[in-house]
Amino acid sequence: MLVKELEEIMELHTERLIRLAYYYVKDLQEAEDIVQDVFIKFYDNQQKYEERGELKAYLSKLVINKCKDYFRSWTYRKIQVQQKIFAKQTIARRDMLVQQDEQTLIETAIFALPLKQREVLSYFYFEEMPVAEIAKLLSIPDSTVKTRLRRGRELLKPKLQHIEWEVLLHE
Amino acid sequence: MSKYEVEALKDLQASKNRVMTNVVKQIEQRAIPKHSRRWQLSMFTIILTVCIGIFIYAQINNGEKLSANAVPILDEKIYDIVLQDASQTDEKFTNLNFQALIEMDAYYAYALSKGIKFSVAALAEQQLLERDQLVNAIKNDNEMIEKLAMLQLSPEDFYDKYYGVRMFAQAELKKEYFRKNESSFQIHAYSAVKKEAMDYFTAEYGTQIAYLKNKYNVSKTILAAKYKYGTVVAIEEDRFLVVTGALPEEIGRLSNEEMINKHTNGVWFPLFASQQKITIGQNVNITYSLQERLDQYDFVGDLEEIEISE
Repeated sequence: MLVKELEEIMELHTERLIRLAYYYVKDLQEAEDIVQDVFIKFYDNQQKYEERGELKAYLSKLVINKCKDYFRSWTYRKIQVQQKIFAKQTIARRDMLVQQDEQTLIETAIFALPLKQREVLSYFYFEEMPVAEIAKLLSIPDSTVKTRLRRGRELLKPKLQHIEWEVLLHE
Repeated sequence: MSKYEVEALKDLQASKNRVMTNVVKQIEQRAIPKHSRRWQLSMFTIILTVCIGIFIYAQINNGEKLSANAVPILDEKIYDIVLQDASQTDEKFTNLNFQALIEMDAYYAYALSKGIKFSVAALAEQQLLERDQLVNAIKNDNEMIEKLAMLQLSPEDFYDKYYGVRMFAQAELKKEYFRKNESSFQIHAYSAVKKEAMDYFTAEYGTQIAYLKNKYNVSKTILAAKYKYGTVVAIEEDRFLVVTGALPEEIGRLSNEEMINKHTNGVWFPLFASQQKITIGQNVNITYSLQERLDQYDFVGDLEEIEISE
C-alpha cells in the first residue's frame, strides 16, 4: 500500500474512528493519538489485513482494542495522577461546565457510565448502530448487547430524573 | 431512537486533518518508533509500592512534628525492599520504580535543604492531592489494600503519614516557582521543580545514586513518548511555542493565536529544559511525555529531549 492509498482510507474513516475512540477515552486529544497509532500500525502491518470489503469493521476493532489497551496503560494511570496533581486546573475547567443544558447533562451522564454500558449506549444512540452490528463489532451475543443497553438505561434514569429524553421514556 | 451528537465531536475536521498530517509525516520521516508503546504499568502501583516500601522500613512517627530524619533518604534497605520484590521481574517496571523512588526522595531532600517546614497542621491545611480521591483509588486496588493490611495501616493512615508529606514538599516547591514565574503553566512548574530537585539531589547524592543504579541495573526510561517537529515561533517568560508548518515569513507578523489557528497546532514547552539556547525561527524535534490542552489547537507539554536543526 502506498501512502497515497492510506490517505484515501484515512479520508474515509478518520472522523468515525475518532468518534469511536472518544466514546471510550473521553478525551479528544487521546482519541486522535489512538487513531493515529492505529493507522500507523495498519500501514506497518498491512500484510495482516486481507481485503474482504470489511475494512470499516477491521479498523474499528483495531481502535477498540487500542482503547482498551489504553485503559490498562501507564499513560491512563498517569493521567489520573496528573489530574490529581493538577487538581486546580481540573476544577477550573469544571467551573466552565456549570451552565449545562439538557443535552450536556445527558452526555455527561452517559460518559459517566461504566465502560460496558457506555460503549453499547454510545454505539446505539450516538452512532445509531443496530444491536446486531454492535454485537458483531464487540464479538458478543445480541442478548448481551440488549442486557447492557437495558442496564445502561437503568443507571441513567436516576441521574436524569428531570430530563425528558425519549430514550428513557420508551423501553 | 434519539439521534444525539456529542458536543466535542460536532466538528472533527481539524482533528481529522491533524491525524492525517501526523500519520503521513511519521511514515515519511520514520522519526518515531514503529509502535508507540504504552506501558502496561500503573503509576499508582509504582508510587504506592515505593511508599509502602519506605513505610515498612521507616514506620513514620505519629507526632505533631514530622522529623527530617523520620524517613531515610536513598537508603539501600528501602530500595532493596521495593526493587527486589520477587513479583517485579520486569526490567521496565524496575526502571520506573527506581525513577519514582528517586523523584520522591528528591522532592523531600530538596525541600528539606530549602528549610521548608513539615508539620501535621501544614499538611492538613494544604490538602494537596484530594485526599478522598487518593484514598478511594487505594481502596479500589486489592493488592495495595493487602499490602497495607499487612502493615496494619488504613489507606487514610497511608495518605496522612507518608504520601501527603512527599506531595506537600512538591507543592511547596511549586509555590516558590510560581512566585518567580507568575504566569507559568502547571506542567512547566511541575517539570521545573522536578528538574531543580533532581539536580540538587544528583549533585548531593551522585555517588549513592550511581551505586544504586549500577546495583539494580536501571536506565532512564521515557514513558509514553510523544513527538513534536516544528518551528519555534515565540518565546515568553519560561516557555517557547513550537508550531508545525509555520513559515518563516509568518513569524513576527502573525500573533501566537493566529499562528496556532492557521496551522491548527501548537505546543508550549519549558525553556529551562533545553541545554541549548532556544531562538525564534529554529526548527526543533522534541520528545515529550506530558501534555495538557489549552485551547482547541494548542497544548502545554513537558520536554524530555530536543534536537535543534540547522
